[in-house]
Amino acid sequence: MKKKINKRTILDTPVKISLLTRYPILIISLKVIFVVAVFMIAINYSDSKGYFNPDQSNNHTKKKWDSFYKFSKRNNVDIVLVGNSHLYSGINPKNLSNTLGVNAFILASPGTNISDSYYCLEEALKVSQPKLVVVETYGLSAFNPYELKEGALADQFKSFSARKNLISKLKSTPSLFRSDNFVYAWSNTIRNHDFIFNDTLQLNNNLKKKKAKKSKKLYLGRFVRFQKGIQKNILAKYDSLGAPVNGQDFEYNEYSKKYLDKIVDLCNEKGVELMFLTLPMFDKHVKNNDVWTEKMKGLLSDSEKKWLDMQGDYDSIRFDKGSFENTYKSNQHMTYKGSLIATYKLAEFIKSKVSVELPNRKKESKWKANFYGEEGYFENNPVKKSDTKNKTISKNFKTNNVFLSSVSILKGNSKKNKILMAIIDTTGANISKCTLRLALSFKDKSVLKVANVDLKYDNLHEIKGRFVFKVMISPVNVQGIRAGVLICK
Amino acid sequence: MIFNSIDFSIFFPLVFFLFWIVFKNEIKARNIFLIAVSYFFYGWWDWRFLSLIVISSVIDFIAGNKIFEETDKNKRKIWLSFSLITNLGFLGFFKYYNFFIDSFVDAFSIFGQDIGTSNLDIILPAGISFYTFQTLSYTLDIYYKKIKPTKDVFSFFAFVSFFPQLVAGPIERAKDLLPQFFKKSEINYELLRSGLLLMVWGFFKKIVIADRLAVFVDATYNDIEHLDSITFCFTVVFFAFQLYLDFSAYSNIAIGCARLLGFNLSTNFKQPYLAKSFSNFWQRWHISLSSWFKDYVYIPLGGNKVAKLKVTRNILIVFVLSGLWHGASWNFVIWGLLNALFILVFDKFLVNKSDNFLKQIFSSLFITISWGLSLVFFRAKTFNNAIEVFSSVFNESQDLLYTYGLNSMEFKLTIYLLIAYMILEIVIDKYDGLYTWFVSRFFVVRWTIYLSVLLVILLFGSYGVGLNDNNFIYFQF
Repeated sequence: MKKKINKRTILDTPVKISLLTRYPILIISLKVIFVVAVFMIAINYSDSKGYFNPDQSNNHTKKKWDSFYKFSKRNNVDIVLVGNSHLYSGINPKNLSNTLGVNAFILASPGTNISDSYYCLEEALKVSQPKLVVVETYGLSAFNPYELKEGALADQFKSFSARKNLISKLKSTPSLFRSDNFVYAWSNTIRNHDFIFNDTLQLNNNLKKKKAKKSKKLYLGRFVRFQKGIQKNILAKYDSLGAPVNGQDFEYNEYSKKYLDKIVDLCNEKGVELMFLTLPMFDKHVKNNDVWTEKMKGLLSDSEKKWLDMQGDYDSIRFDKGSFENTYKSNQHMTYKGSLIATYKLAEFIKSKVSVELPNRKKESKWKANFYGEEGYFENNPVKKSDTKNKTISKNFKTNNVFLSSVSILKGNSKKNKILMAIIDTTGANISKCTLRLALSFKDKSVLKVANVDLKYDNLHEIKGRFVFKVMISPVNVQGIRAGVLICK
Repeated sequence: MIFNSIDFSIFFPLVFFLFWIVFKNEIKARNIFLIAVSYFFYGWWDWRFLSLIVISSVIDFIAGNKIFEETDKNKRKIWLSFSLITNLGFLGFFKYYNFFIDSFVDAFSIFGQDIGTSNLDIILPAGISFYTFQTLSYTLDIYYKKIKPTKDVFSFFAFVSFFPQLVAGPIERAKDLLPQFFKKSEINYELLRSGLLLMVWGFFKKIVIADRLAVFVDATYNDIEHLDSITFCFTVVFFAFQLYLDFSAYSNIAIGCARLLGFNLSTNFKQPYLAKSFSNFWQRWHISLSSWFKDYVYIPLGGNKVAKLKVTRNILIVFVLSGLWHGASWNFVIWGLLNALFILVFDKFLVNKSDNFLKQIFSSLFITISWGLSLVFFRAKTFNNAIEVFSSVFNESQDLLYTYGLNSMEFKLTIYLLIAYMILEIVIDKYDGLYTWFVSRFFVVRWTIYLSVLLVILLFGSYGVGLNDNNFIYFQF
């Protein structure tokens, strides 16, 4: 073995010695830089290919940033809403857009705090010029971005990964993560390298490029997981154990204050109106809310911005047990039903209380192309004449005790049904407890017939001055309306 | 700051370039720079405890010079006592205050007396046992006239606080390390390369093997009431390897770091699990501490050149002190005593130079297993916990092996890694020139190995968000 060493050493000597003895620091540094570069390229390649990505099929955070950038290329986002899971399950941006005639987008990530909201907003403002920013207040509690627990940290990684502006991400890294998490924040390969042992199935899927299909549908950041409202078991717990959320436990700290101030400054700097929004939990779910409200007032008062507090001004008539997630945990979200009620409340608040001139895009063809037929469109906007699947059968029709603004037949959720929808525009009257009876004329095998149909009040799309009534009907060939009457109890 | 952190990966390259580009030619400026970066390195953890290092440095610098200048024996003793009392006073207060209070209360409670004393909420300054022993060796060596004191305050402060070995050793002697601060640092490609490779090797041992073993060991020690006999065996073996690989990895990185700055530190481990006897084990394990106790406690007590009974006493004293050095609890005392007993009882059967290879392997196995069993006291939080762990050897196997953080694939990989590592240790033990042989291979071979090792660290390393507590074990001492 010794002979071999000598031989090679002698052979290598003349060239090596001169360079290595002259520039040892340079040579060793170049070698280290080479190794680091090789690994950075390899890691970057793996990241770009998504070999160590977690299951993306349910990653709505990434989906919303993809969609936000795509949408912003051709449209300006007029209202940006930031917050966490309470926001994306509590507000329906399509309904908000359709009601106000604007482009509203939710940039909320699960489990995140106000610091994440700030950086999301900062990035969003580089891409779009909104008129109004809405900040949901749930992320304003006491937190420390450097001491997040594993689950919250994973959520923060997810939100960070989904963002696209590299410079903005680079700038925000030291504020969002402790230094030992920098690398994990930037690389899925490093963060999830343990897939080799713990999630070989996902790794195999990633290597085989089994990717989730990209949807072409308009996506504005909503994600509602809950359809079923509060059930008996949870109601019983409220009675036996009391409310799981106590307003007295609420605290905010220097981080929440710091990022709140940064959001206010950012909006002032960009000339964007800012408002705060508190989405509710079920009233029995929360106790001592007045203490929470006072503390929150203290926090928000400096900014002198409008605040819609749906918990403080709890609407016990419209929000019922069906509006909230069936859980006793402190983190209660809204159901689809609840989210619609909250959305129309927000729309009404923006219209009446927020001093901002929002554009009315209802006549813009681009806006119509985006929103036509989407959720909440027909409840707030007319049916096109050229539409073959939906049509208006009556307009501005005065009959008996009611003035019908429009009556439309809309596509149902299957071929076997259609929706009959009537809109009554009126102020000063409360007809939400009434039933609308319409006499419909329709053709049955070339024979013209008339039938009475009762439409129920749709409280999910309620907005001041306009009442929506709906009923599901068979797909008959409706010709028109003969008469109508409001029957109130 | 810990070596396996992003902070260090930014800190060290900056220090390296500044050191070689700006400060290499001016000794005084270089030493001031080293003091500054060492204090920064330490202060990153908790800047308040920097004051202890500064006070220790000032006292020993003065005491060292005074001991040397004084001709009067009593005055020399006074200055030495001053150094010992101050340094050991700090150590005693921060490390042993609560231990002695608890023991005092327990002792009285045996006699039915309940004395109301309260514990203080004392944070143990990182590395206090290491730098205290290093700086003590300086004054003791001057007292025993082995070295002369330095008048160069910056060199001395740099010697006490030199960041690669400040927190967990190796505990250097002034005669070896201090003179290196007096002369200009020489750039040597081979020194740089060997330093870098040592660091990579250290990171491999720490991140790929030791931290993986830690997942299992931490999980079993958190669930001691449910351990079965099989799990107990693996816990004992795994912790023995975790401790060795974790600590030797730290030493590798520290030595590598120092080499990259042109300094040579002493070897701390020499394949201890291939020891031929228990006393031989201590010549291979944490060598800088073992030799410290030998030079400053064992030999002054008479060493082995006294009557047999006194030799036994000396060994017991050294190991009890060594146990207490590790931690302020009775478990460490028991651990120390057990290791003293191993030497006293078993060594006479084990030391035989003419033994064949198989017998040597058997001896090494016996030593490693005995050492591993003694480590139950080292690892368990309390005496009762340790007994509970030992009693699990009688519990029937319940197929729980893969429920302690490592699934079957990861568990098997760990076993293969340990076997491969031990084979490598045997090769290193047999052939001194392995490193020279390796670095003279064709560059394709070398670079394939370099990149593979780094790739293994990246992909198979036990690190991640849920595993953030990746401190080196010896930081706690």
